[in-house]
Amino acid sequence: MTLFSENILSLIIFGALIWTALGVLILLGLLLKDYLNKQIW
Amino acid sequence: MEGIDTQTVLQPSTGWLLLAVFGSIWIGLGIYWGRKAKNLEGFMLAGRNVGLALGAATAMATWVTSNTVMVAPSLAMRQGIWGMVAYSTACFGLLLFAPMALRIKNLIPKGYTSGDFIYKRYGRVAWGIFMTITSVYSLAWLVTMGVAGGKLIEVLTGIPYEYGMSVILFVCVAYTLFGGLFAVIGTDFIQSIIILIGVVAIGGVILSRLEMPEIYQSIETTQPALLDVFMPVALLSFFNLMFFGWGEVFHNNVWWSRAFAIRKKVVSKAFLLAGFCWFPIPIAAGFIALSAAPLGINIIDPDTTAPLVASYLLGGTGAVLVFIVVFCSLASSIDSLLAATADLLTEDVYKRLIRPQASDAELRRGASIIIIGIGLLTWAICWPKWDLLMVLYISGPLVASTIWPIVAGLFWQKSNPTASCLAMLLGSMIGLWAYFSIAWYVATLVSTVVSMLIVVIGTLIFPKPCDWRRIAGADHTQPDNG
Repeated sequence: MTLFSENILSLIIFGALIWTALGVLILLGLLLKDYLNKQIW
Repeated sequence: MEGIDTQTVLQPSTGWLLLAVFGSIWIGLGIYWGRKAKNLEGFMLAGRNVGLALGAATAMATWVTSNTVMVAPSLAMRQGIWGMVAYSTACFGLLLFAPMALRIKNLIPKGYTSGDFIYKRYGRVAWGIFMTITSVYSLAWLVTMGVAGGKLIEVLTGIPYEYGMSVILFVCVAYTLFGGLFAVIGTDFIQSIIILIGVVAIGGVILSRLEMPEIYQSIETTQPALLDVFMPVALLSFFNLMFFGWGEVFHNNVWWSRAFAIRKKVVSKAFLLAGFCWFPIPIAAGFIALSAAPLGINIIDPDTTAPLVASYLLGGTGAVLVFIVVFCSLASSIDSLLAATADLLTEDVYKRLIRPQASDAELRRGASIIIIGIGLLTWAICWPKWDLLMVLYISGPLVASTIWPIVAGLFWQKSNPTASCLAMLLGSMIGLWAYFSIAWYVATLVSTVVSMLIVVIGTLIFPKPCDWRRIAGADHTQPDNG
């Protein structure tokens, strides 16, 4: 059985958590931008 | 292994307090945003001018269901790394819908529903098949979320299932009823931020307690198959889940209503961003399950993995966090399904079949009554805990059979209506046969391939050009073909 290495597992997990956190920042940043441009709705 | 009695994680009084606080917030926001919905278009499609931030967040939050935060850990426990990654491929549905959304905006800028498009593009028979498929799928999706919500509240707080399920459905029906799509999209933004922060917070706490080598060694020792690079079942489910996701997104009015609601200039970007933000969530949620063994937590019901791990690490705070994340996941999907399905039934059934001359005010009243009706029907099915999760899985081949008729209908002018009808019918039937005779993880794949062959070959042999201008027309009583 060929197993994924520890490095790959770390990359996937840390990558997913950082990526998810980045999503929060992007959405909040875009909301601010839309708000300043009066384009929320 | 250490077992955890989840009945004692939160007191019922805490559960009621959380339900009351969040229920009041969502209903209050529904009433507040509902003031913007001054006409039918406002109520159903939030004025067709939603910006990028809210557009992306609503698409993402709707796609984060109770399944994402409860089934993804379960898949990770059974299929390891491939299980998590396979679930993440459902994001391709959102990514691929991005160009389709722009096409929808260009083709039918004043459209209301996916059913309306199918009727005009392919005729009444195709519309009938499509409405049957989407109704089965939407109801199954709604019921699974209602049941999941009731069960989770019972597990975490001890509040009886019937009460928790009823409160969740009542809250979602109430704010959707007051605010229409304005309320749905506005609350979706807040819910999406809470979901993302919650998932990262739980993952971060796990990593603060456990080193990655510790987690890896534990899995390698106890369940090496979860790290297997070549796990055949997981690889097959990879494609199956991907096509299931495509079918769900491409056909359902939940996504079409957002395409109509988001501003044309940003509609593609909104769906691309939603897919981008959604992709890591099943992996982050799956990681919670992978950490259960090294933490010494004995998981009996895989669906309770996330609450168990979070409450083990953070005690009551963790349980509250999971409670809030799952409540937001449920609400963001239930509200969207209620609104979009009500739109579909109002426009495609009430207006088309019963009262074609109905005014906007009458349609708005009709939509409100239908929202209440769908809520009551869902509640009645959820009450005896008729978990339709199996029906939801079985609907995989059904929704997958719509992928090609919809894509061809939007982009291929010569797409043959009869071929599309047959594609949905035979794709569904052969896919269902594969589900019961071969295995669940090939059914959607089979349905997609059968449907594709019928649409492509049927159109190449019998091309039937359509007039795009008629599809764009406001009159939705006349189909373009058939």
